[in-house]
Amino acid sequence: MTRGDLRARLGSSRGRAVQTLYLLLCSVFLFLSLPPEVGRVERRDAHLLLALLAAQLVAVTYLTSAFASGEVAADGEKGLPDLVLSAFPARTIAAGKALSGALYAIYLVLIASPVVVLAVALRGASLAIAAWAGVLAAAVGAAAGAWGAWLSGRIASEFTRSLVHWTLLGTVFVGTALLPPPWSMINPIRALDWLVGGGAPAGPLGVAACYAALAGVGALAIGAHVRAARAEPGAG
Amino acid sequence: MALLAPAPSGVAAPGGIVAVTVGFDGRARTGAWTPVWVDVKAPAHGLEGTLTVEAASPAGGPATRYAVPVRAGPDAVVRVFLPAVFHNARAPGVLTLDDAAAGRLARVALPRLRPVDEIVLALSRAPLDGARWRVDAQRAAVVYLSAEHLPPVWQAYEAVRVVVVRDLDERRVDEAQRRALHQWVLAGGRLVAMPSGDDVRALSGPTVRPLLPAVVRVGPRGAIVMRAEAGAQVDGPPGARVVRARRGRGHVVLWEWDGSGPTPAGAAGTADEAMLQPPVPAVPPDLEGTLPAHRPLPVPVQVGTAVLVLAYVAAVRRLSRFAAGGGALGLATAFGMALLAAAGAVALAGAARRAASGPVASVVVEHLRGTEHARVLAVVRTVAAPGGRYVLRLGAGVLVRPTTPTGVTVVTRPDSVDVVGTDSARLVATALGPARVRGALDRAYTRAVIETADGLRLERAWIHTAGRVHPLPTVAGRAVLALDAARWATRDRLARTEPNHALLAWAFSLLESDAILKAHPAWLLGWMRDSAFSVRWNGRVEVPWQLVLVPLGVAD
Repeated sequence: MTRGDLRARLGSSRGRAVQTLYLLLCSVFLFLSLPPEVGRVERRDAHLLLALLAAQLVAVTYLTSAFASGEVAADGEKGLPDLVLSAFPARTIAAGKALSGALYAIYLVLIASPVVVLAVALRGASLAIAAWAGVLAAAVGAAAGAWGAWLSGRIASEFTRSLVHWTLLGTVFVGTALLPPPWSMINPIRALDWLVGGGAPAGPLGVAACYAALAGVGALAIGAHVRAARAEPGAG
Repeated sequence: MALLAPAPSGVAAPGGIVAVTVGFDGRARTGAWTPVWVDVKAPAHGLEGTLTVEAASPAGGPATRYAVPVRAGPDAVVRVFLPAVFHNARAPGVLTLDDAAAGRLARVALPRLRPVDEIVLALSRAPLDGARWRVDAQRAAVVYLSAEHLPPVWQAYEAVRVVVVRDLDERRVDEAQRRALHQWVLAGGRLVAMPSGDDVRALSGPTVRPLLPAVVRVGPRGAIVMRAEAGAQVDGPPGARVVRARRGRGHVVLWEWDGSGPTPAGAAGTADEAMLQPPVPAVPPDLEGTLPAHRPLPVPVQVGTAVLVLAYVAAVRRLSRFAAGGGALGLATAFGMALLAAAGAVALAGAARRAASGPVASVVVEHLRGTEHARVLAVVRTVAAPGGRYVLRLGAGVLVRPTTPTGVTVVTRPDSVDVVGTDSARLVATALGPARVRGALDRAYTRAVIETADGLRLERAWIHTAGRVHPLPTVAGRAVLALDAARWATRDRLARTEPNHALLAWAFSLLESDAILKAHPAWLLGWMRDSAFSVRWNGRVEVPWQLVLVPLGVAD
């Protein structure tokens, strides 16, 4: 199942076009974030690096959840409603969907890593910033992928699903920022800001662990949904 | 009469440091080049090491280090001159002596300085009339110096308002000290020379004679006889005559009478206001404002990076298809390739940082009128990647210092000067070099003759006179150029010009405000890249643009 999802997301023409757009977006932010000169990495310029990392994180989160929820359809990818009718056990479906979301998020993070590393290394910042930002993006992407997959099975209406999908994204990126400190740190952009500002990585790693746990909860939700759907009269 | 030599502001001399003299008899202006003389005794195995002044920062920041190499045979005592800039008169800093073989030999605290704004430097066995030189304890002081303590580099006279020569033992002056005095006068220094009673030996020796505007000898019955050179200005009645002349940017004044005695009748009106003015700043303070704002990543680096990024994006499209069809192995390969590309990005960033690091400079080469010399002023900003160590190497004869206390090390060698640092710093450098461009203008301002030495290219040049400018084509070698009356324009109508419009605008305003430059009617300005002013940045040669100012003569 995971192999099939990844084959569809990576090999289909739409999937490859999405990757190209994603990399071009990162490249544009790379050039926008270049410091005026290598010796001057001021606070304003640090914000430009933050913009690149934030754009990457948002893109990874959106693309992972959009593919999983069916908002961006990749030829050959089986949605949760189809899998409910398959012979796969619910646990396998849940693990497979969560794994495909996590692997796709990691893939997106890794293929953009040369661009991010270039931006970080050009300004002489620690490469650890790129590494921790990648871990955070992969964790948030994995959570978004799992819950996106759950949405694809839970909500049949495309419009409603899309609405809920965007509401969830808004909650992650905007709603969490409105929380009082220290809870606002759960906002991935705030965690990135902390990293870029030279903060210890423990906080952002804690945030990443939270999102990884959220991905696990999403997988459980997928399994529960599959079992519930199969238990309904007329299913299978 | 005993020579009024300075009492050395010496300190206890542990290790290999025998004696230290800082400033002119302990007096110095903070923020200006200050002479430091050190007598060093070599250990029994000889000495090959470094003498370093660590000049303390007034705000407790990192010390600026000024170092010179020292060599001496076994047990020999050598005298070392080390120019330094101090910022804290109470605790100027420390002096260290390190040997390559034996490590640290000595570390002594430098003695407290007596700060003054201006120094009247007198080479005289008899005291001068301080009132005539308008000195007071707080602001200015007359310092009586023994000839052997004259600085061997002209920049070290920075705090000196005027040098007064009355008695001078030529045997105590070496060629470097002599040259430094000459160069200082050419660069804007002021010299007053006078007989010592009926003794005029100080005025006929090689140190002072080439600068004087008159030949001086003792005539019959001990009278002083002066024969002024053509063009010199002679004032005052016989017995109280004063002969004045310009030497480059400097002034030289010769008194007929002995300044240690009473001023003769008729000489009262011959006071030289120029000699009472503050010392000329080594570098005009507003020159720093002309530094280019940035040293961006070089365009080839930016284009190369863009091409590589686009190539990578295209490669990912193919890699993605492979990853999709290759199962776990395909995915692992894709991950590996991405990490490999990330490693390449680190290398690319390193190369880009090296290419983008370097000096940013505003360099002015002002030809000194009536001489074969040019005064070189440069403000430099080092652009270094954070944490990246750099060595900026300049040519011999240059003295360079940070504009504000910064943790750099300036190593002065006979053939070069190195500035070693890790963070970006602002520096000022001064030197005297040969004049390599000449020019003349006919009286009707319709024809100019420009000549550059060694095929040097003078690009984007202008003739400036009375606030108006005329553009010139590029000149390499000798060129006779016709000037078009319709092309004269006011300088403020000049379009923005590269490589440094701010510096050009600064130079135009200097020509109209500087008393010495303003006195000359026509100037040639232009950009050149004379390799004589090249610098090395971590071994990489860079030739900054130089704005050359040349006084134009009259062409027949």
